[in-house]
Amino acid sequence: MSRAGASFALSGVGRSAKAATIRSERSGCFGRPTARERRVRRFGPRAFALAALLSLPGFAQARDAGEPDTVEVPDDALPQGFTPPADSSAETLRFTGYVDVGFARATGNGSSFADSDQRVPLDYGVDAFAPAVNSRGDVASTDARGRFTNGFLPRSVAIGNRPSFLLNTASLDLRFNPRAAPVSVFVRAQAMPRWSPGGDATRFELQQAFGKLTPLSTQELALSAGRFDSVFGFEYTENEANLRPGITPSLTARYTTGHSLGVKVFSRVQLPALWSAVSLNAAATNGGTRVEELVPQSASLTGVPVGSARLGYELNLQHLQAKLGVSGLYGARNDQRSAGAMQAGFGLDARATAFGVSLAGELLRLVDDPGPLAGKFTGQGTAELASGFQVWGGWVRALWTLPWHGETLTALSVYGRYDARKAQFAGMAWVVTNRFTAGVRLDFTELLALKAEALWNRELAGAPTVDNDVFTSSAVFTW
Amino acid sequence: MRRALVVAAALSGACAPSSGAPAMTWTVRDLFDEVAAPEAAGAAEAYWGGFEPGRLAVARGPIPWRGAPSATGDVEVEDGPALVVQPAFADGAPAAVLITEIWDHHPAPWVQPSYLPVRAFEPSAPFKAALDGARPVLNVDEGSGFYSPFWRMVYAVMPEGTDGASLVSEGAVLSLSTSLADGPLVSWPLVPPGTRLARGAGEATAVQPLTGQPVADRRLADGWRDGKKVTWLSLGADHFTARADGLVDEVPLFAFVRQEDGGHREGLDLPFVLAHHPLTQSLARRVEVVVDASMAVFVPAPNEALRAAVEAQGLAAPVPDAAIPEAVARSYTLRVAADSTCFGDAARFPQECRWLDSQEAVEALPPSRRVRTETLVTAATLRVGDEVLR
Repeated sequence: MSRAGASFALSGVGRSAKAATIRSERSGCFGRPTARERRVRRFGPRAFALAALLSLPGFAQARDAGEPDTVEVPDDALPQGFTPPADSSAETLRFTGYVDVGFARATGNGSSFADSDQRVPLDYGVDAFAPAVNSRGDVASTDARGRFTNGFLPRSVAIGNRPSFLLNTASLDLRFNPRAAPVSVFVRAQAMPRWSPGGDATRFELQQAFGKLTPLSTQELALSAGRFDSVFGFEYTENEANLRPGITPSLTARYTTGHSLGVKVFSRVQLPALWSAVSLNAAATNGGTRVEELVPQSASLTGVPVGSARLGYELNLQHLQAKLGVSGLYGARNDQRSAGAMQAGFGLDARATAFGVSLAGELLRLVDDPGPLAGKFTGQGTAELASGFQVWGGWVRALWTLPWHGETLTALSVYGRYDARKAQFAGMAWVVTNRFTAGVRLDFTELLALKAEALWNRELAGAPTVDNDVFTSSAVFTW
Repeated sequence: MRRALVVAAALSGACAPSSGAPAMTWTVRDLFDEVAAPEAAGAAEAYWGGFEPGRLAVARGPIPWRGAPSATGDVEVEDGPALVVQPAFADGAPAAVLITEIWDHHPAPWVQPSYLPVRAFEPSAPFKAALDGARPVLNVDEGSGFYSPFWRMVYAVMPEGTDGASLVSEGAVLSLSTSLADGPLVSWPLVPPGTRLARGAGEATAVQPLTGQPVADRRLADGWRDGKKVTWLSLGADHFTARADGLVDEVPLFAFVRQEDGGHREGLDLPFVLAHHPLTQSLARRVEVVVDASMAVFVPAPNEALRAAVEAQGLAAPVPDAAIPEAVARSYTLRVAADSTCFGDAARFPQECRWLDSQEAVEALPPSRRVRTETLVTAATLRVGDEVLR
């Protein structure tokens, strides 16, 4: 956390300044519910609409957890994020986390693989990531039934088409944030209990571990080193179940939401006269921005880092908050060993929030050179060849938080998302798919979120039509 | 696949060190590009996994193996580029083989599906039920590292009223088909339109270059790959086998080489030796056979030019008994003998020589004489003795 952020956290709820700078870290710390009540009393329903939206645990934290982000808002509309209780605000070592318990069922055989499909590699001709069941992007099944695949697979919860409870993630965050030094440390350790036909397949992952230096007390400048979030687009800010408004990631999340190992710099310049800010988030990492299922992050296989960056603009008015970003990446693809095989990506993102409604979307274009050497390396093992690849994709989402709340049920939101993806491995057919997602989210204070979501996947070209729709739900307990 | 070549070339220069040789695939299209403009490719003397492109295809001028010095005379190719029929021996007989793909340090190829839309599946005559206007639909082309000339014909039964001409992608076929039935394994190397086997002006067919035996030209056919027309050379059905996981079975293809000082192996212009029953397998791994001073190459007595060419490669080519009948001599031309004592006596020729003209004979050599390489080829046998590929 930056000095500015620490300052806010310490000054907390009761300060009287007209605007406050919310400076965030990763992960969420939730404030006291009484803050909302005070805001509602003072500003009435209109102020509450924005406040309710921002204070959705997932929504507020998604924003906070991100870029890292600074948001200029009137202090009366402040969300409850990053307002630790006074008796703990002086603590320099804090533990937080969440448990995500799911219940899901997929149709068909739980995968995107048609029984009759004999194409090689099987995972090149379909979208194996489509039947996602949780916020990690794990799918109901990747069972290829002995057919050859080549390392373009998500992780699987291996339930096929059977309804099943799932312990999606148990996550522990540790934050060390000494008040007297411009240095902080953040560690996120996660357990993902899984089963596979070969037996227990539970994974433990140190998803993030980084130190951050904020050398200038008068500037928003942060330097990070370690394993941290992507800087591409903004969907990475919703990686965690307690941060994501819905449940499942988009069809393009696999390309932009990975946790990279390297160094990162973030800087933001506030433009108070315009209620605006511009920011730059840039990283040099081992593997780029893809998820570790597809690209190893813990080591550079090429010796050449991947550069990625996002240039962002924010407009923060009392009733309208908008963010625009342009992202890019370039470097050697890290799923093979040649420094001559490059990956290049470009993205646009936009978000707008007003009167309880949030609209968001991303566009992505990505191109991979073929790897000239045999061998393809992913977080799940070794495959045969790193093929040339290209993809277009994007998504849009609308989320509406109803202007209503109660003592226990503190927020009710409904949302819908449309995803589209068009991808091609060199020499093979374009695979065109889309997906409609609809869901509802209920927040019971900041400690519990219940979410239910339906996904309708459609194969438009290049892939056989398969039954791979999903109903999934999630109970996220945050502590 | 030339792009892979360029990448590999770049890699060998300024880029970071790699852990091994580039994984390369060369197809007929690459062969034709290479022989049509070798200077442009900057690889006029290129060897692709030990194979010289200019011996496998020809754009103009003398047909390799048939130009001087040769057994059948100097023959200029008509309307190149064209694929060159390669001389070989198999099971003790002269053979003719066509090499259409080369994979070097590359994963072995898998069988890919080729979907033929049909009205109904008729096991006895499936092709007769092909949907009007439909052509086979392939999954992959030469641009993919998973390109393979080895296909499994899959009959896709389509609903009544389906427009066959509209089925131009496998996604459409798979989505619409009501059932699928496996058909034969077919060898279909993708080629540029108009591809044919090299033959001289006025010749009705291509020939085995050393014996002059005719080799039937192969039919070109076409189909669809993701909405685009593709052309292939039809090399017949059931000339290879595959494992349950789709990997194509491989057999050895023996190529004679000379061991140079320093360990480098130099390829020799000698016929290949094919595996046992070569008409049943088409994926072959190059196994280099190191010649030694005890071995000799048979060259018919009158063909002094050919003898000189063989000797120029550092090989022994003793002058044989002139009484050996020409027809016999022709069928032994460029055959390597581990024991050449019969060369000098027509009465003892050829039975008293120990010929290296079969898999069994080559594998009887000390193992140190054989070097397994990382190169695989599509080696479609067109003829073995009097048996011809159908």
